Amino acid sequence: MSVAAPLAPARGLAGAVVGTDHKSVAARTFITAFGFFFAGGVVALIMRWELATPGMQVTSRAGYDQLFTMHGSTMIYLFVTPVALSLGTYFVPLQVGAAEIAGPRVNLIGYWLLAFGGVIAWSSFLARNGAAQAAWTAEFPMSDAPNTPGTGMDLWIAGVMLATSGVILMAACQLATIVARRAPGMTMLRVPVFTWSMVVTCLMVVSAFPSLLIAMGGLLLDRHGVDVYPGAGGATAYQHLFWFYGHPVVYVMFFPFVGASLEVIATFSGRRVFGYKGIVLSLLAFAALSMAVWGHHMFTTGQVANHYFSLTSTMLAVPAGMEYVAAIGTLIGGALVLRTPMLFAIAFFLQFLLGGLSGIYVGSPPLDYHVHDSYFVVAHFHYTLLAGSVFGLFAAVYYWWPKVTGFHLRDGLGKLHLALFVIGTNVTFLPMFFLGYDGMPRRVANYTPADRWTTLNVLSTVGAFVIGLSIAVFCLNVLVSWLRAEPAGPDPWGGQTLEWATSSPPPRLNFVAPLPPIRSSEPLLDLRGVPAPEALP
Amino acid sequence: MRGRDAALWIGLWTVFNIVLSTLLFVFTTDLMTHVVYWLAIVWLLPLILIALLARDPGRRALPQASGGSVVLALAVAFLALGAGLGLWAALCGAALGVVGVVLLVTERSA
Amino acid sequence: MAATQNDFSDVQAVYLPIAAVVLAVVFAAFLFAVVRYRARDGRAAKPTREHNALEVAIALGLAAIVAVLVVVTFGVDDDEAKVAGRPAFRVDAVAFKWGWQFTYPGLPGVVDRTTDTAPPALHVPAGREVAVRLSTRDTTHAFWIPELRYKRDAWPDVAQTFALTFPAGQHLSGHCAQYCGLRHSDMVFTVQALGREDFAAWVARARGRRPGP
Repeated sequence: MSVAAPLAPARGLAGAVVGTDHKSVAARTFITAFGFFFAGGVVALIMRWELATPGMQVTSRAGYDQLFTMHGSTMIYLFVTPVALSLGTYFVPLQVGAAEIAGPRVNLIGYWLLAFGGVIAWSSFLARNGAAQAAWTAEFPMSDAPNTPGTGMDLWIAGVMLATSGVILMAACQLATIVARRAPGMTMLRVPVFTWSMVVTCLMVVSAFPSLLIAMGGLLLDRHGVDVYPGAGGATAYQHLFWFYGHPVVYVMFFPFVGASLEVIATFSGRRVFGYKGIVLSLLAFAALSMAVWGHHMFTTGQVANHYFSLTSTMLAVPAGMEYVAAIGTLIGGALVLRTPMLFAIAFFLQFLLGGLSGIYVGSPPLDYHVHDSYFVVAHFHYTLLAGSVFGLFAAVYYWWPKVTGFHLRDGLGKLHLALFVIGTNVTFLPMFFLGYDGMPRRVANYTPADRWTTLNVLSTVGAFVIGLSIAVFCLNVLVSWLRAEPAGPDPWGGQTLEWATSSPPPRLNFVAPLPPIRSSEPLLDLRGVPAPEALP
Repeated sequence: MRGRDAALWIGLWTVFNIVLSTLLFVFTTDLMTHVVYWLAIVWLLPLILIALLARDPGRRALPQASGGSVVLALAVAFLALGAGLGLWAALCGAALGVVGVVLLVTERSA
Repeated sequence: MAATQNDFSDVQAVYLPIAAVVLAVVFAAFLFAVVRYRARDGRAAKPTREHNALEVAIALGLAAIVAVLVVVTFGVDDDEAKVAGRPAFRVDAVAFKWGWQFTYPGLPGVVDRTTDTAPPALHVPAGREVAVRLSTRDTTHAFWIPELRYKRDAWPDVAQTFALTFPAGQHLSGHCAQYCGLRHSDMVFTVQALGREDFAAWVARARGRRPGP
């Protein structure tokens, strides 16, 4: 792939605003998303402080309702989804051997829509009636003008629509890069596992995320006089439109981390990933199923075909199980190096399992009729997202940090971060399974001493602060590693894929020297003479 | 690499979705449930077509920066802000939009 | 135990053990791998091989487990959806911001309603099928009695009926489980599941009372 010599790359503050290099845009997305992570995390700590004991000690009821709305909204629309995509924005072009992402200007527009959208959503705190307070799902008619009056809700809707539009554009660029910019020799079945995970992620973004724009656009119109969602059918229609987005988004917040974790496991096991073709098929099946399960969020409404959605939801266990087979099959027979990225990747698979199994549990309507809209479900999705995906995120971060920055993150501090994160997430969320099972509904600002939920809530609050501590350790690691940088070199881990065949950080056009020949999904192992599975008897 | 082999895989994914959405008929005929899924599938078809026709553009100059992109994003943000703040914000957005488009056109032809 | 309690336990009795086994097997596999295959001097990683038959077998095994779960779930779900043509007792439950109103079609004028000072008590005969017709006056709410392991959303512009059997001798209470605004957490109610004689006595007392607001 030869490209005309470019002018000097945009640098400094101007570069941070208008620069189009996909690596720079990805870094901006990552940093912006982490900023929202910290903001949403602080909100969570306030919520946990309030919920530790009965009575309203810290916030008003309206205040609490705004906090849980903004916590969920921030984490889903503004943190995990964008940060997952940012990994692809940086590494997809590198892994497919491209000099740049397809549509770099569109990609840049996408980033700024995300950033402006986030700011506008948070500006709802400045509105007279306060921030949005209809939950991140904005269920109708609770989110309509009579039930949630005020500009805050409108600003939130605008912000969410902008941020989601930005994410759609960024996903489209990655998909286009994979479709049209692969290096010669890289057939689809030689694309690395992480990039395959981005294929299915971006397919879900592009086909399911527009549904959110329709749901939210309709909501905005309805709040300003147009009866978009009338009566029983209207309320149901909103939920169909919302959850058609709302389920795939949780897989968008999962697949990139599965892909990255599998690559981390392969690299730190010193061998190719096990069952590459099975992984590709599983990812495709998993993603297709994820488009077909949205009604499981509506089991208790009585307005959807519970049997179908229960069937498709339970079927998810098959491709999910095959991803685990791939991880275990890669470890067995390897020479495992238990550095921080590897430990986070293993922890991701183990911790996510509690989220996945509780997901199969709530996929059964008779069980869901009890635990839906209770703290059991709150536990379930925090295990998949925070105690799951975010572990995978940190696996990717510790793994790719040397490539992006040129220096290492400290391994000792990384292991401390991991230990505190494991303790914190389990102490916070395990009690919630029991709280929900015992009858504690979700989205409640308060409960009474007679409920006897105080002890478990106190435990959960303690855990939340341990999580905060673990994130502080990560920040410390970043600071210490930056101040006393240990240079990393192009390939500190013995990598297998093309991003490790260039300098750290990569040059403006990603590759200076010619690419190695691409004969498998792990081109650098081909160079080292490691046979591909198909070549072995 | 050409887009055709990627298009095949996107096609396979579309077929998986068609199977699942067809299965839905066995369980319900509720209009909204079907509409929402079929709209997404229909939307995948032009994507496959674009993938089939995709070509690597080969030698070309890559941009280093795009002020027009940022201005256009800001324009859309103001348009959306109009929902909360009123018509003046939407009008600012429209004006910025014109500026952004003009900038982008000049960038591309430069 | 009552009908929904039984249904719930029957399904959970299948799901939980399977989940526990899966959890144990996966954790054991990772632990085994991490201990046995830790990098040691002089031992290189073995090149990855294909094991297609094994993968297919595992996928089929997982599919079989899914089939079992689905069959169990479908059977119980169909059971729970049934409402007798002539239930022993009927309740009309109306949810509103922020409380409940229970009226009884067989007992005109008898109302149990949230007041400024107290949550309402839902009065039902114990051990017999009660048909609950649930509706809302404003936004969505949800009628949840945790001890019965059942909830249903109160949906705008439509009344939904479901069947519950209330056991005697258990402390039963209800919560709203669908976020509905400022006092969502306050939308509670108690349940009085009365044996034959106590229920008859309540009916007699209730008929003698003034009709509610």
